[in-house]
Amino acid sequence: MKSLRVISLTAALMSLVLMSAMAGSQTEGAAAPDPAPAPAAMEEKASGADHVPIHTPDAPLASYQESPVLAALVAAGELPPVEERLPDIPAVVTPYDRIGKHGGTLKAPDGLYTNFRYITRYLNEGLYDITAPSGTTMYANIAESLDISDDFQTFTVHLRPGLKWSDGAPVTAADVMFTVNDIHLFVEEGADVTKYDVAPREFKVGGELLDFEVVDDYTIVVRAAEPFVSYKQLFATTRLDPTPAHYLKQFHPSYTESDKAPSEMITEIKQIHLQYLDPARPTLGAWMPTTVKEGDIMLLDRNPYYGKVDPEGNQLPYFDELHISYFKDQEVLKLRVIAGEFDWGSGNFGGDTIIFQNQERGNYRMMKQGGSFFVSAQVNLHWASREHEEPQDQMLADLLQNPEFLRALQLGIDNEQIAAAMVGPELVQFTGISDAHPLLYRGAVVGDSPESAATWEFLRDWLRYDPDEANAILDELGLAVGDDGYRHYPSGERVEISMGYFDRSYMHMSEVVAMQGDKWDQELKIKVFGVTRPWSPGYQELWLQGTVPLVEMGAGWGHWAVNDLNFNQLYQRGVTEWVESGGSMGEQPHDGVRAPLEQIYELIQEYQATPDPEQRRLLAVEATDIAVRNLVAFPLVLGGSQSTLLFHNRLQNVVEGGWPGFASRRTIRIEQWFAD
Amino acid sequence: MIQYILRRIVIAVPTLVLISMLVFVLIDAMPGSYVDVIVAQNLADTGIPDLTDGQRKLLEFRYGIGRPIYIRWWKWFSNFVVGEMGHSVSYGHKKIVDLITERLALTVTISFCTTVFVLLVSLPIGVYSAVNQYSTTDHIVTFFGFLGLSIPNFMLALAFIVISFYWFGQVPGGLFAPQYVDAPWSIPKVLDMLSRMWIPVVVLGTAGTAGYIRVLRGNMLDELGRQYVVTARAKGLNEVQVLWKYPFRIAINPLITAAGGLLSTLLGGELIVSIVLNLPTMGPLLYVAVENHDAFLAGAMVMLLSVLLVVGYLLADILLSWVDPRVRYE
Repeated sequence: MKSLRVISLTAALMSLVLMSAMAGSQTEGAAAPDPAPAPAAMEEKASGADHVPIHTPDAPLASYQESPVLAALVAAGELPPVEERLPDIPAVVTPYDRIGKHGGTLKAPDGLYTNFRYITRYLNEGLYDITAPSGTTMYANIAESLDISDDFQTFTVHLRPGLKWSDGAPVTAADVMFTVNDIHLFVEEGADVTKYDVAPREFKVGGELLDFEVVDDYTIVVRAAEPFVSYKQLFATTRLDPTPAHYLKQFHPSYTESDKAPSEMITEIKQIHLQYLDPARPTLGAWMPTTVKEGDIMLLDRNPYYGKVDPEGNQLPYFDELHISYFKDQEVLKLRVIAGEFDWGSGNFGGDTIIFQNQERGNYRMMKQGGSFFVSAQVNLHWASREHEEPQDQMLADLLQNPEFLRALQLGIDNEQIAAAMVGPELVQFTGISDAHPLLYRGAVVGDSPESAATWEFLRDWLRYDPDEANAILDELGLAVGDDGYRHYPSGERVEISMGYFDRSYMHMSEVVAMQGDKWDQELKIKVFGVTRPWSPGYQELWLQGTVPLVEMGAGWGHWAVNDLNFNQLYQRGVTEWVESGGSMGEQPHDGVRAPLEQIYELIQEYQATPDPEQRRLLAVEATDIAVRNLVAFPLVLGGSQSTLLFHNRLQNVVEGGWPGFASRRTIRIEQWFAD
Repeated sequence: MIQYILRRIVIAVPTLVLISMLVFVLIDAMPGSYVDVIVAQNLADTGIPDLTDGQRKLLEFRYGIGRPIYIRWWKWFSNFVVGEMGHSVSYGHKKIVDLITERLALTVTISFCTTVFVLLVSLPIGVYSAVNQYSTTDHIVTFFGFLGLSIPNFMLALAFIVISFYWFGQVPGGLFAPQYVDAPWSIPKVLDMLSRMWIPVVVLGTAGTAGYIRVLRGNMLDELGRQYVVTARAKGLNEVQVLWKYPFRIAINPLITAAGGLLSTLLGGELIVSIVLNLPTMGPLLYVAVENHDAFLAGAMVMLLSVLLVVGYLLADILLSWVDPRVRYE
């Protein structure tokens, strides 16, 4: 293997010498394959641990190679040569481990969505991406660069000239603008909402929509009304993923007359053409679908126009094909995983004892994904903030807004035991149970520092398991234990809490919740009733309609302060919306959380307008501290663990971690995986 | 005879309209709407409740949520009658007609093979164990018959999976190898399908076979004791003629009636087996539809099953009236 690499490098250098001899002084030195990634233009600060996997050299590499599958098509005259298919200067992906080889089929299961969305969303290519694991550095992916003005109000997107869709059509500014205007901001006649109402949060800065101006085919200027320091939330996420305007216009109500209603047309674009379910839709992804059977199987072939290469000039991806199978039943899926049938498993079934124990047998390995997922029981404000006719309900509603009572409930939760029940003790030992709080995941924004130490200490203490102290608090609240062995209100009624939870095929949620109910029942002497529903309809009934006071919210992810301060992660959605809109939308919070939420929101505004990194960090620490000291009770954390990924042992160039919040899907760099 | 058939058909039409209303009302009675499914999926994916009020409002407008139920029913039913079933929200907005036709062929194939398997196995065994009542073979057959009846199909499917995993290191599932999924029909494709098909056929057919054996054995025993059988034997007819020409024809009457329901149970009844064996058939389609508030798909499926049930029983009645003239004169 090593000698092969040396040979191909030598060959590349020889051809380089020949080429520069022919081309005179044009490319002197600059075109040499550069094994070390050049620093991206717009990164804030270099993070030692992070690997910036993509860079754009100053000039094209000396030569490019392609998969034998495509070479055969070129030889048959069905495809132009690889140099013509690649962009003028292709992006160079530095493999996580080593240079791979072309060929093979990557196999992945999707146990969640009939439209294979769980896997295909990893295939979408964005303008910019973010590094793993810290998430501090943004680098150009399919775009070439981003210029940011000193005041953080003007952003110039430079697209990559010569980059093509999988049908060979050029990628231009029109494709990004189609995403902005015709996908995100499109509102059909008759719908009683404005563009501003439906715009993604990242499009709104200082109460105004961002202004997009097309300068030429490869340049777009984005202007913000106020400094937009949190620009990564826009540029490094999926929001600006280009969509093939030249193809989609035929389906879009703004461009095409049809018998179908505009709503129907835009729904078809979103649900079919943008979801990899239309094989004819050009893509920028590494593979394009050839066979689509919803709820069964999807087969994809390599995209001949994929615009990235490895440092030796091999066009990516390495795998020729991608097969995705849908599984309705998680247990069947697990059995197939254990049989070693898949290369890559992502998603919730990874956190499973059976799968963990059978690594050797199935010839795969599990890796930590980083980040944490947790199960929490959330006080349902849709229930608690309502006027109740039954005095017993009203007393409970008051209790659930009393931080002392919630403190007692949290002290009655043994995180470790629940984490072990959720994913099995061995897996908990493997991943650890730390960071099992939505506020606790210490991403790069707050981090460990003398300023934040007290905050983390408070949070750790909050998650402590101490039934004695819990009982002392409950006694103090006047909830005495009656003759029946349960706690009663001073007026005599028994304290009873209904906790809603959901049947989800991929987690043993009912066991976890039943276990916690028993614990509160036996140790805190509070009667808990479980109410169970299937996830999607149950979420509406139990949570949104507010039929129960406490609702399990399983498999949540901590997003606060991972890449940025994420305000709507802090509290129930309607409430954060109320604060954000200054009270014109959403639901009014009760006084206990209103003041801290407004304070945090102001800090976030300040944070987003502050360019200086150190000042930003301090603002983030302050906002986090307020959040931790005031809002920490909102989710009662039942337990959590790190999530895991699963890779077949033949799969190379995979990386541990890869979960820096909002850009999780792309840091894995699926295009540089290969089988060996 | 013709009058009888006509009468049955005339009754079937209002029955189906009523069913369609019932189906729609029941599906609509589930709390929430597809927009909630989108919100919940989004939340499960990202942990961020990402939809703003405005975005939610727009989605509700797009999916026509909040319009009165009779308008939605009429729109759905009138389109259904002309074959326009709309789009499935849970299967990537695909046309429901396409979704169903894709699966119908496979489902019918499996159903047909299963029926043939059931009949081929159960009829001779049923007759044999009736003729040789209380013999050792009868006891063995009876034992396995009860075993087959009492083991749920999906359990058997799981057993097959576990056995083949431990012995052969592979898990059965699906009806085609990936390279054949979209390939045109060819001999290798048929062979590939057959090599995978026997498991669902055996799994699905076991309970049916066991049931048929029991019914047939019981009916045959009733008939074998009748005087006409004794008379036939006394007249010197050979045993084969005695058995198959008279008592057998009467003994299968209940089986024909039961076969009327076979059509629809085979389409809907293989639900759990299909999920376990990961088969692209009709059952999982209905399950996913109901789970995801996919009212049009679920409605279309239930309607289709109802039509099959009504038509199945109609056919069974016609068949029965042809086999057994007594039915016609009621």
